[in-house]
Amino acid sequence: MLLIAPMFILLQPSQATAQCCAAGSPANINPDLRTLKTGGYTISASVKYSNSEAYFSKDNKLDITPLITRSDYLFGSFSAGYTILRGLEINASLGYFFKKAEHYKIAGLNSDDGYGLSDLSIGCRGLIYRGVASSQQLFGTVNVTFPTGQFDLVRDDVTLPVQLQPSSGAFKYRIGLQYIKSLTESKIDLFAQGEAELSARIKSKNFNYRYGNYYSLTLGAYRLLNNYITVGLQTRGEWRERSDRDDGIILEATGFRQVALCPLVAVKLLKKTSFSFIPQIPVYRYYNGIQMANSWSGTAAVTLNL
Amino acid sequence: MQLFARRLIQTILFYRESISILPTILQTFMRSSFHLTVLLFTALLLHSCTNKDETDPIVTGALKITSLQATLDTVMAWDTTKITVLTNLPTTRIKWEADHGTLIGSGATITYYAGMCCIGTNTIKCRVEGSDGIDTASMKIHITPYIP
Repeated sequence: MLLIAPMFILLQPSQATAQCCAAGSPANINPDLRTLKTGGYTISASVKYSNSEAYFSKDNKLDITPLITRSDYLFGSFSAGYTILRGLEINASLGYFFKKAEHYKIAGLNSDDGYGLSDLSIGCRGLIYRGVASSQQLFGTVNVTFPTGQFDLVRDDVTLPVQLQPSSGAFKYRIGLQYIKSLTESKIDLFAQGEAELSARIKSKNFNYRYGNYYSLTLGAYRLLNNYITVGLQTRGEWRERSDRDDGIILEATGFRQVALCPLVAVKLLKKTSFSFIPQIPVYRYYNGIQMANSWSGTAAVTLNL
Repeated sequence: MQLFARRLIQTILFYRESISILPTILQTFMRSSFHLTVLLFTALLLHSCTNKDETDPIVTGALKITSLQATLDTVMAWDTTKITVLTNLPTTRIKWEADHGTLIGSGATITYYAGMCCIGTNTIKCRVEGSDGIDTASMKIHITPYIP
């Protein structure tokens, strides 16, 4: 682990979707293979671009182009972690949407977009079990997302819709488990992570909405090619339940299941700095009702371990 | 099983050792620049806990909304309808807001649509402002499922 360990960080904000009524900051899919050392800092900056342009109903791609022809976003995230105790890290992550856009087929109006500060996630990651020489490690994670970002963005005196607001507007609570197994001789690390996220209801004067619960499972393998380059492949399964509005009206065309392949390349730039790139390519998509589905996305990150 | 129990004990001992050096760690933590980051995050956190709801709009003066109407008040998902507001006196500002769905454009006439995720009865609010006062009104648009 310890071969690849310093190269990644995972200080996940919220979940990822790109279609209508997307809910806040996208997930950081970089695997976190670090060993936690007391007093250690980790700082990471990343950008993610996502593009959605195909409509799905269940697992069928539809040959339709309603009003919205495409949606995309460019999201930046800054994360920091501090190992306060040996085996216990506190972390925080803050996002910013540089662009969150919908493209229309309306004469005279090509697109509309929102931008601004997204949500703040604070959490901790603690060692639950450690094998001999850290060959196996099991971590537990707990995170709370605070709706710090803009949820009332106005353009030309018109309040932008939820899907273009930088913030999800909701408190979210996430728990997870991470398992890491290091095969030192073959320079391979195996990684598994499962997470569940529950959203609190947004209940304001004008809006009563609850995002569906979200679950994810990631399985990955990473190999150190030399002192500088690591390659890997992970499979990420995501499942979001349906959302509801007005205290219990289920929204049929929300929620999805998706499996994506995420190849990874990481390059160690300096002694304590690394750069990684992870595209995310969906290979299976199942959407409730008719929804615009994510076509692809890519994340680039720079991580500094002190 | 025995091996697992032994390792679990090792893990617990691990934490015990860490707790004994907690004061030193905290001292280091406070001295470091990291606390600035913590302060920033705390400020944002407090910001998130404030109530962002606006108070009820103040309706004052002689300016009144005389009509708030849509070309269609029942529309299929992803179809559009135009909403127009009329007032008895000139306005300097017209603000729009929808609980679900999207408003496109600005001014006295605006385009509204909602996707499949927003089917149901949605509320559109309009607030007009002028030198003669402020007025507000709202209307409902019903969104039905999309049929290709």
